[in-house]
Amino acid sequence: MAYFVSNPTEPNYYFIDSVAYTEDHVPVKKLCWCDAPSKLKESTLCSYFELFGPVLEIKMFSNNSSMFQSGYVIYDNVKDAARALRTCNHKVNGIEFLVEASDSWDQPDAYGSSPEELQGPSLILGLNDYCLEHIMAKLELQDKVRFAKTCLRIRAIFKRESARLHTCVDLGQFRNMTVWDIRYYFQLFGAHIQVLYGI
Amino acid sequence: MPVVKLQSSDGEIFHTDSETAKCSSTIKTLLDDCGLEAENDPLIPLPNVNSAILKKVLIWAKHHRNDNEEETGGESARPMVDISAWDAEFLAMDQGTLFELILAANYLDIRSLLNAACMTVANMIKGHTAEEIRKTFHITNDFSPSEEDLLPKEPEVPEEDEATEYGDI
Repeated sequence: MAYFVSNPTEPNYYFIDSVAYTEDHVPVKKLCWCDAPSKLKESTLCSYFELFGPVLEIKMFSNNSSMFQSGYVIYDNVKDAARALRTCNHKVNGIEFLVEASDSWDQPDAYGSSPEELQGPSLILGLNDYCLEHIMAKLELQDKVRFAKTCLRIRAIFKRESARLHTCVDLGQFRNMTVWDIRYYFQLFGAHIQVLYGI
Repeated sequence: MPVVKLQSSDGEIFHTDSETAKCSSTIKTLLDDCGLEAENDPLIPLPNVNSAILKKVLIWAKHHRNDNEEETGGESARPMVDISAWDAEFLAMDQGTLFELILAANYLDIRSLLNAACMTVANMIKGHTAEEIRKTFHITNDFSPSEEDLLPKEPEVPEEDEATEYGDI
């Protein structure tokens, strides 16, 4: 929510040890822009972004009627992406445009480790649904959403436990949540919501 | 004070006073409503609780046997209540034992132990990202790439056929 309330041009990422992270602590590899001049060619932009390091993918979305084009670039290395992001004034052929970190859910590392990295069975999943619901009931909304993101069964429990509670939603409860958490919440409960109130 | 014998799933028998045993609503019902207390040395089999966990439950129950019932009732009504220092120390155990204790508290219907133990697990979740929670509890990410973010659509309710609704005569 802070994202909407505060200045929207304020960056929603931070740097630690030359690596940029989104507000959801996902390492940034994908950058995007929406105000590059439409006359710039993909090859020109690609060679510009390659100045910071090897580029895995670059894509531009141009619209004939618009003066601007949007697009994204994905870097192989997080430190190269961070260097590109740290550069305040991106200028190609003398024209400046704004480059930002893509949303958390669009980052290549958004969904973390692969299953084989984990060792041993999950003991918490040995609990019955009633006990898991009891644990869920003791969490604030943001923690519930993040717990629900861990696996299918916990998400199903969250949906069952909360669906009837979320027909009337106070926007104030999103105040400390990230855009990704809010997005996930609406994906789960959007269909059940009848009333939205608050600011 | 009457003594109650509790038999764990692995056959061990524990002797305890009835007041301690009655922290468990399940056992209290057996003693009060089924008239077991009137018997001499009643033996209650607990096939879902092993001796290691039953021992812990009894330590907890002995400490809490004099708790005011109203207070305990109030505690279960307030889901976010903090846990006491004694409970926090008692519940500092490995995950496997903690989850077995939760299942036992659920089976034996001991609300305040269930609340305190679930609160301990909730505290391990609070303030962490989904990825960190997965690592803490060894949860495998079983979402397919499409449903991890974009959820599958709810099945649409078939619309009623208008011809059927209004009749076709």
